[in-house]
Formats: sequence, C-alpha cells, structure tokens
Amino acid sequence: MRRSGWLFFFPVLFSACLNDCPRGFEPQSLVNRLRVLGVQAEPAEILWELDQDPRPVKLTALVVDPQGGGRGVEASFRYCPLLTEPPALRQVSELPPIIGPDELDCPRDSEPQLRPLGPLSARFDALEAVSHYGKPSPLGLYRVGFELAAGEERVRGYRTLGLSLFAPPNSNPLLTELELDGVRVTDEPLLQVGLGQPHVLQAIPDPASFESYAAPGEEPRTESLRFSFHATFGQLELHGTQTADGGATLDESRASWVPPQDDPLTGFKVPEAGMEVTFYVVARDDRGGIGWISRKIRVLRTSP
Amino acid sequence: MSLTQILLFPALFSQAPALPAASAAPELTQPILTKFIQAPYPEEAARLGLTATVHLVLYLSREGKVNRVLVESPVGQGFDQAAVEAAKQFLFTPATRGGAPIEAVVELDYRFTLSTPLSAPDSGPPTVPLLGVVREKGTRRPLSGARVSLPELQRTAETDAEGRFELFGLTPGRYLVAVELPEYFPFSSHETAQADRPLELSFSLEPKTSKPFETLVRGRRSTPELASTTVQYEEIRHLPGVQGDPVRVVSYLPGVARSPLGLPVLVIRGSLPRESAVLLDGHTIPFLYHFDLLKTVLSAELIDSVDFLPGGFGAYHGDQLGGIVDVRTRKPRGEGVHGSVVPALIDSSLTLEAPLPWVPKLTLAAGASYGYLGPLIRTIGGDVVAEAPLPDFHDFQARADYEPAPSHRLTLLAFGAADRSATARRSDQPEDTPQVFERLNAFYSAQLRHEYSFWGASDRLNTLSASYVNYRSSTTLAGQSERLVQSWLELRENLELPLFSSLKLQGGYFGRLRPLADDPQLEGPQADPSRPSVERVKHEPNTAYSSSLYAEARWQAAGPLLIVPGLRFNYTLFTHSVRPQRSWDPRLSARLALNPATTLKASLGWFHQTSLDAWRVPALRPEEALHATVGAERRIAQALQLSVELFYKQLSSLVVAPDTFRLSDQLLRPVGELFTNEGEGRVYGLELLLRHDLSRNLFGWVAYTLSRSERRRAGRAYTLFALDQTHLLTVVAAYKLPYHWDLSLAFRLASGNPETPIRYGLYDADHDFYLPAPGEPNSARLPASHQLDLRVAKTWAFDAWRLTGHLELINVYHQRRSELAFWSFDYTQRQELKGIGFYPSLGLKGEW
Repeated sequence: MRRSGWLFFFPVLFSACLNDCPRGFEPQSLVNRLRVLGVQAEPAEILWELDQDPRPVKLTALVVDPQGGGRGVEASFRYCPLLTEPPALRQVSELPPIIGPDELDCPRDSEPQLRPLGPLSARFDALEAVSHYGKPSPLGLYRVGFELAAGEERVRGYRTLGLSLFAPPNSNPLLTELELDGVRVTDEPLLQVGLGQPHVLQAIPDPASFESYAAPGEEPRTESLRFSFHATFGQLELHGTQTADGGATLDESRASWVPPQDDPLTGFKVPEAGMEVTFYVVARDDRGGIGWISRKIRVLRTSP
Repeated sequence: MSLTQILLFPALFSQAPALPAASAAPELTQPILTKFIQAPYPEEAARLGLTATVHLVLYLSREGKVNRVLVESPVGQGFDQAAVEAAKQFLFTPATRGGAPIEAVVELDYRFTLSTPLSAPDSGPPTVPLLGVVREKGTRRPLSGARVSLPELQRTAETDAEGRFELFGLTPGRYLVAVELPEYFPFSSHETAQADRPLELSFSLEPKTSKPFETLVRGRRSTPELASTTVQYEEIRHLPGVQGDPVRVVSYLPGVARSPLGLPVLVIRGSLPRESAVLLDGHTIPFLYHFDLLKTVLSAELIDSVDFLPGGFGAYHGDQLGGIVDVRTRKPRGEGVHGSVVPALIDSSLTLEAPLPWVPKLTLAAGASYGYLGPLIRTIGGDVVAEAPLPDFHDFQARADYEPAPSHRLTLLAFGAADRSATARRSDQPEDTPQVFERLNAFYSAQLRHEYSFWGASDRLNTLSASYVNYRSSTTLAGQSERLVQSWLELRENLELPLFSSLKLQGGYFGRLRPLADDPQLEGPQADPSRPSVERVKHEPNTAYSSSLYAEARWQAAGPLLIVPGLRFNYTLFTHSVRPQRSWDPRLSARLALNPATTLKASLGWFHQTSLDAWRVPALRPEEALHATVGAERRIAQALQLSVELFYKQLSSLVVAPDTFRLSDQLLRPVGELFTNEGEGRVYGLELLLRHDLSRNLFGWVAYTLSRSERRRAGRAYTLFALDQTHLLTVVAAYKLPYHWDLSLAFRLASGNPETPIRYGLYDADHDFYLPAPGEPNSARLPASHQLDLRVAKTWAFDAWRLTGHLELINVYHQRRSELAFWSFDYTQRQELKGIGFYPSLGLKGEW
C-alpha cells in the first residue's frame, strides 16, 4: 500500500536586494562635471600645398564645466607620437578594445606643448611637427593630445588632424539653430518649459555643411553628419545620431528630451524659481570637421 | 555471499496410491522429512545472481525413501538437476495408514536463494513455519541481513535480498519475535502460532538515520581502484545548499572555483569551463547546473553516482584539458511504485518510478522540476529587486530500462533543461536601457544504451551507447541579442575485460559528430552606432567528426601497488577544407598502499582537446596539456582522513582570439588570423581535504585549495588567468540529533576573480567616445566572497512513506558577492554587479 506524499508550501518573507542594488551610471549625454565635448580645428584639415608651408591650425576645445562656478580651466595641448601605421586596438582582458599601449600614451609630458592661443585653444603647425619628429607623418595623420584640469577634475583626450587629400578642402559644419518642439531656442529671451512632458530637440545645420568632395579620379561624395546631444539637466533619449545622406533624413538630427524632475532617491528638487538648462549639440562630418551650438532654456515647476 | 538453498515444508501431502482396503477405518499419518540434503548451487546461476524455486513431486517408498522425483515446472539454469539430485537423497518417516507404512507422494518447493544458511526444518511433531518480510519504515524498501530471532526456541534467521526470512519448528503457542539490524532501531513483538497454518509476519524497521537510496560522490577518481574520496548519500543529504543533490556537492570539493556571474559552469583547477566536460552516463551534456549551482539539471533521485575527476584521469575520458564530472543515472527500482515530491520555496520537483505491469521486465522513472526564484522575488520585491540577476528554470528527465534477458539491458534516457535570467539595470535616465541583460540556455537530449554481460560475468561488460543533444542559447544585452544553436551526436563502445585477478583491461571507441557554424549572429539595433564594433566574418558551415580509440590496463603489480597505464588516440576529420587533427595521449597512474592507513598516489598524462575553430582557421592544432599530480592519503583517526595533493598543469597550443585590431570604417578588423595556437598556460597548486566520516552522528570536511592559474601569449609575460581564485576554502559539517533532527552548515570563502584596473578614460575627440587606459592585465581583484549557509531538517517516518521538512538559511549574513565590475562611459566611475544575498528556503520532501 503506497500513498502519495503530503504537499506543503510555506510562504516566507525574504530579501534579495533591498538597499545596495547598484544604480545605473549617468549617461554620456548628461553634462554635470568637467567635460570636453569636442575639439574643433580651423581649418578642419591641414592644408599643405606643394611648394608652400602648411597653414597653421587653430585648435579649440568645447569645454563645459557646469558645476565649476566659473573657476578657471587649464588646458594644455601636446604632440602625440606619430602613427607609423593605422591605429591598432588591443583587447585587454574583458575590456573593450583599446588603442595599443604605445599610441594610448598621449599626451606625454615629454612632448612639447603647442603654442597656446587662448585659455582653451592652441596653434598646431605641421611644419613644427615635422621638425620635432624629424620626418613627416607616414600616414598624413597628426594627433594632438590635450589635458584639461579644473580643481580636482582632469580630462585627457586626443584629436587627430589629417592632411587635406580631397577637393575641395573640408570645412567645419555649421549649426545655425536649435529648436525645441519646432520653436527656435534663443538665449534672449529664454524659452520656458514646464516639468514632465518630453520635448523634441532638433539641431538645424547649415545646408552648406553637407559638402561634396572627391578624390582624384573618383565620383563625388556628399558628407554626412553625426550629432551628439548633451544637456546639463533632464534626460535625452539618445546621445549620438547620424544623418543618412547629407541631411536627407533630418529626423536623425532630433532627440527627445525630458525636463528634470524631483527625485526622492537622490534628493534632487527643481527649485521653486525654476532652473536653467543648457543644451550642447555637436556635429561631426566624415573628414574631421566639427561644429557645435549651445542654447539655454528655463524649466519652471509649472507650465508657462 | 554464501550460497544456500532452503527447503520449504511440503506444500501438499497427497493421498497415497490406491492400496488394498483395510478392515478398520484407516488413520492416515504424514511422512516427515528426517534427512535433508543441501543441493550444490548451480555455478552459472550463482554468478548471474539468479534464484529459483523448483517445484518437485517426490514418490516415497514404504521405507520413506525417495523412489522417484519429478520436476513439475522446469526452471533451467541447472536448478532442476541440482534439486532432483538432492531430493533423491532425502529420507522421510514412512507415511502410514492405520499404522501400516504405505507409499506416498509428496510435493514440495525447493528454493534456491543467495543468502546465509537458515536452519533446516526440525524433525519431530508437526510444526508450522514462521514466514515473513522485513522492510524499512518509510520507504518500504526490503532489508537484507536483518536478524530475526525466536528467543524461546533459540533460533535465528537472516533476511535475504528481498527482505524475506523463514524459521521452522514452531509449535502452536505465543512467541516473542525480535528483529535487529545495525543502523535501525530494534523491534520486537509477541505473536501467536496456530497449528493449521504458517505464521506470516511483516515488520517495518525504523532507521536511526534516513537512508532512502544510495548515491556516491567520488572525488578525485581516475579508476575505481584509485578512488580516494567517496561521499555517501547519507552524509550529504542534509548539507545546506545541496538538498541531497550529489552533483552539487562537487562544488564543495577541492579544486572547484566559484563560477563567474552565476553561470552554470565549472571552473576546475584553473581551467576554462570549455576545457572541462560534464558527462551523463558517459556522454556530453551542455551544462549540469542551473544558475549559480542552484540545482542540478537532473533529479537527485535518479542519480546513481558522481565521479569528479579534476585532472589526471584515465584513458576512458578525453578531448578535455581540464576536469571531468561524470554523472551516472541509476536503474529504476523494479518493485512497486516509488516517488518523491519536493515543494520548496524556490523550486519544486517530482519524481516517479515503477515497473510497467503490462510489459514484463520494463521499468520506468521520470522526474521534473521547476525553479521560480526570479518570478517570486520580482512579485514580492517589484522594481526594488529588478536589478538582481534572478533566475527561473525547469528540467525534465525520463529513463526506461528493459531487460529481455539477465545479461542484456536496454536503456533509454531522455532529458532536458532550460534556464532564463534577466537583469534590469534601471535608472532614471532613458539612455540606461542598454543595461538590460537577459540570458537563456536550454537543451534537450536522448540516449540509448545496450549493456551486455558476456560469459555470465558482471565485470565482463560491453556497453554500446549513443546520444543526441540539441542546445540553444541566447543573450540579449543593450538591445542586441545573440543566438546560438548547436547539436551533436555521440557514439561510445566500451569493453571491460578482466584477464586475471591482477590484470583488468578496458578499451573502446568514442565518436562525436558535430555540425559547425559561425558564432551567434547579432540581431536587433546596435546600441551605439558611433562606437566601432568588431568585424564579423562569415564562414561556410562545416562538420567535425571526432573519433577516439582508447585502452587502459589496471595492473595490481605487487600487492599494494596498483599501476594503471593507458593510451588514447584522437582523430578529428572535417567535412571539407581542413586537414585532420590527430593526437596521442599516453597516461600513467599509480597508487601505493604503504600501510593500511597511508597511501601514496601519483599520475602523469598528456591530454589533447580538438580545436573546433580549425574549420575557420585550418592551421589550428589541437590544444595540449600535461597533468602531473602527486599526493598522499592518511587516516589519522578512525573517522578522520587527510588527503593532500599537489598538482601541476602545463598548457600549450591554446587557441586564442586576436587581441589586436585595426579600426577601419567603424569596424575593428583583427590583425592576423582569426584564431591562433599562441596561447600558453600553467596551473599549479595544493589541494587539501580533511574529512570526518559519518561517525558519532558527525560528518563533515574542510577542503582548501591554494592555486595559481596563469596564461600568456607566446613570447609575452604570464598574467593571471581571468578565472583564477587563489584561495578556496569550504567547510561543511552535519550533525544528527535525536528524533531525526539534523543540523548542518556550509561555509565557502573564495578569492575574487581578477580584473584589469583602469587608470583613466581617454577621450577620442574624433569619434566622441572614451577609451580605457588599462593597468596591468588582471592585476587587481574583485573583493573576496564568503558565504555561510545553515540548515535544519526533521524527518518523520511512517510505515509506507516518509516526510522531511527543512529550513535553509542561505547566505546568512547577506554578503553579496561581487560578480563583475563595470564602468561609466568615461571610466571615471566604477560599480560592481552583486550576486544574490540572503534568502531562506523552506520546503518539504515526501518519499514513498
């Protein structure tokens, strides 16, 4: 004689992750500490025609220090080691591929600084670079490393400059306007929005930014632009976008933005008097050209 | 086991043949056996473990001699002849009618059983026998070797394999019957024998401890003779975090690191999970554990034994550089319906086994389980716990055994499992959606096996088996998903042949057919189009046919010295475009018993693993390893044993992916071949096991592993292996309290996995992303993890079933293990993904 087992189930309270669950990182689109959002070269390429000296290039960093309270930001630009072959990236352990250790070590303190042209800009002279290295870059690429410091914060990075190989030479893209829900955003008067509702942010590039260029003997190509959206507060749905064919699909220059909200977890609260939010949109073309625009708006606790 | 045969009382006394009528009313007396002859047990039948009952008809003379013997229903196997020859020599008191001897016919059963001798029937006045069976209380399992005694008559009997016993010579009256068996509570009762019928009794003995079935976990075993650690089921059934699952105990043995990210994989002696194999009845299965070793994918009730081979294993196993876990399922019980139900807080399971009444010699067993930790926690905790990697899983298994003849057995095994886990790393920022991480692993498999014991000997065994596995997995991260579908077919032929008492041979063939296709294909939108991705190159599908021939000898060379030389030849063919891979694996193990308490052991062997990536890079060679171990075992007290083992593993020709890429058109293109044999490695360490056998109600062990595992590319410096864990300490202990209460604990400490520190993030202003500037590869570690689990259990045994209730407190002090470090976009902020913290598990188990 056999019987089935007696079934029981006792519900029990238990905890798995009550107070120390990791929270996500801040997104790249949120600018709340010292950041470099781009480095513009003017001209966008190194113009070095035969029998002439190369034209010097002015490098200017788009630096944002929203929490700095107007503190000074020190910037230094230095040469990076010449690339003797296309940059190699190396896989180290579980990390994303990195530039090979030799190339990564940039800027090096041992390399001379570029001549400063202002607090956040410097002058790059290809002739000086050739003189410094004793030879021209075999790939026609020169990298400039930069380091910015403000208080305890430091940012390191690099920018690559290339010889102009196509005609016509590249120009930096130009962003003429920034629109919020189709309304032009201006710093004066400040556009005002309420809490909660998402808005559409759109950068308007100058149509001339979509340049046509061609290598000798090749069909002309039209540049495309990639946009990077940043805001000092609120949430952007995308950080980077890209136009498809020379601006034919301008929808991709848009991003959705949600104004900041009170957050009981972090204690953040939108001030009663409202707060200013600054947008930074950076556009990059295919040949190293870069342009940006920034605008402010005011966020109010109640709809304007 | 001695061989005896038991004579039953004559079942029937017939009327004598017709005789001349007497003048007076005839008074009939029965013949009584006065001389019993023990028949020799047929040798062949004894070897096969056969028993039989021969129904005889004896024709008796007036003198009580046996004139003629007939076998009413021949049973063969030599039983009939033996019974007839013995019965011819029986002597009886003459049957009488009216006081005059007459001829008579007697029918009796001559039973042949494999047990110790029982008392022969007494002569004398008519008596009745005491017939009975002894079973285990709670499981109804027949108990052999139980001593049944009648103190008044000073007679005893011992139960046979079916739990049966017989005592003769009871005259009508009241008797005290006592039943005893070690590890069971003694039982006695008063019973009354009556004149006209046998006294039939059934006893249920209550075990002092619960022991419903046997499972062995054998650690560090390369051949049966080299076994150094055997863990009995009774010892582990109450360990916390194990729940009687013998396979999960493997993770408590020396040399097994904690698995990364809660993955259902084994990291054995500093090897990659793919370098170790999990076998079920000799065939490969994709994974053995559900997430984070929560549960084995096979019901514990269906497991017969588990062999854990961390290295230096014999020629039977191959095509692996790491370790082997070989799980053997057991044959379903052939009598009655048995089963178990285990409802618990995080999972529930059910098993059933029974013979099929309408198909003789066919037995079935089936089981299934479902784990619902993830859905349960999410239901209770909601978004608060959404970021923890919470699993849910299920598995099923079924086994059918058919024995058309005593020396043949056919087995069909079907099983499968599926795991799913999701981690939702939510934040207030919509851009954090890429942090959603979901994994799914699933497989199903079928095996068919034929076992043949030739020449009637159980140790002369030929096994032919085939297995099919279909495995699929998918990973979704940051809106991208990778799907992988694999399947393979395996064939194994194994022959075990003892030549002499000191020399046994084993050899066979193992083959695997495996279609090969490119790695998982990306589906869905790319998370960040501005970031470069690694270029994927498509390859034409191929098929690998791997074959291995192996032979091994177990030579008891000189008394205490056992030498096991072996050789394995591996050969892998590909359908097209790839040259075959071949390799030889010579192996040697030895074990020397210095004295009854001390044994030395050593092994040295070469191991190769097929480079399946050769279908994409034809220049690849098989990966190689040299295993060397030396150790000693010493029993330092009656219940205390110490085992120490030093091991060294040299790895070469390891297949590695490129580590250098060039960026072109937003694609990272590898520099050089897709795979090379440039990988090298070395692993060395010490394993120590101090074990207290189940004695004085205490059982437990302390396992400690000190090891270092390193890898490098040829010509470069060694760096730590990504899964290296320097210190592994496991303490398990169980104590049996009165009234079937059990207390136990398990403590584990493990070094954190290595990680590569990041010095800073370098902003690539050309492409608007950050590159990590790493420090020395794997030069830092995640924090060490330690965890204490407690368990209390109580068992109630009823006549036909038993109930066990348990409460487990897993991770008592809520030390959440750091599984993985990840960084913010600019590498300025670091966070660690944590494992599951404290949770209790309360459940019941009903068995019958």
